[in-house]
Amino acid sequence: MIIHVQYATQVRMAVGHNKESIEVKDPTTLAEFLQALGLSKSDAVRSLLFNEQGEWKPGVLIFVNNIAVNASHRTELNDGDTISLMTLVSGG
Amino acid sequence: MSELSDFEKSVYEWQMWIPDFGEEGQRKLKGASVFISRLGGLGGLVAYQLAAAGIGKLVIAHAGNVRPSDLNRQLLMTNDWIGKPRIESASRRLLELNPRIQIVAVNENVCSDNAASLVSQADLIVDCAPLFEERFEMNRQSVLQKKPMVECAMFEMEASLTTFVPDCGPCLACLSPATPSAWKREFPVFGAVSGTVGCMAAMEAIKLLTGIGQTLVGRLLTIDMRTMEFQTLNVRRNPNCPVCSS
Repeated sequence: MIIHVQYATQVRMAVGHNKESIEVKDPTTLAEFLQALGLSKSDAVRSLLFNEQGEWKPGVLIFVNNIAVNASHRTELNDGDTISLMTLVSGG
Repeated sequence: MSELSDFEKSVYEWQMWIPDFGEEGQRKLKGASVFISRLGGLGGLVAYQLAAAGIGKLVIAHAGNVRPSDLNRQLLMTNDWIGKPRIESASRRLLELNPRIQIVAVNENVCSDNAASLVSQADLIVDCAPLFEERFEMNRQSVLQKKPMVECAMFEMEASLTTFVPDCGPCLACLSPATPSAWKREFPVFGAVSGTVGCMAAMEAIKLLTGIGQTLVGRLLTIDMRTMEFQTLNVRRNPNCPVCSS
């Protein structure tokens, strides 16, 4: 199935683009998807998203179909879902 | 409720034409106070728009002196004030625009020692601080003193805006219980990006203070000015939030 991913703020800058579509096996949970995404990206992206223990970092927001969720979300993703990832920023 | 002089009615006439705002909304605004933390590219525009709209009182806090690198975005700072206190430049510019407003100017940034006092002097907070430590201090006071907080921020060509109303939705700590490790004090910024979200934050404050329109409680507006895409994302209270959960 296809999952659409949107990147914003510092995640977009680290990834180098603002959106992509990724093919994953069906079924896949959000937590599995995020782990696989981290492994497929550079060290810079991975260290932005995960700490040294492999846990999702605070301040990196996750939305599935525009609704905020937790990284440990066990719900299975559906074909066509959109996941948005962004760091909380405080520039003024 | 505060009364308006004939001169004030003439100044605010065009915004009083907004049907659900009217003269009553203008009087509410005159009787209201807002605390704005830092008056940079974002907070300066919040203060300027609220002053123009006729807010009764602004409590403003910003330490340090004007530097050349402030001038690409901090519209309350002027070239002739380089090396002099930012708070003086900001106060002067706001009063030039609207001498009828009351300004409480504090030459400090928000910290644990002054956050409670600063927040207590206003009805509403607009959080424009560049450091999460300051934002979390204001968030704690917002929850403790049950005062709404408009939360606005930008990075590069993107911006975000939301509103926290205690007991009615998430607080900042629900979104992130700790300072995001990737954030750095210096960040890429166009003044037009911070100014845009500053104007939108001022509008959010006006809506909260006068009861018009629909606020962003429970929603995070994100703006990408590189692509001109606007998105509204749903955010929720964290039942285990260290700040707002009972």
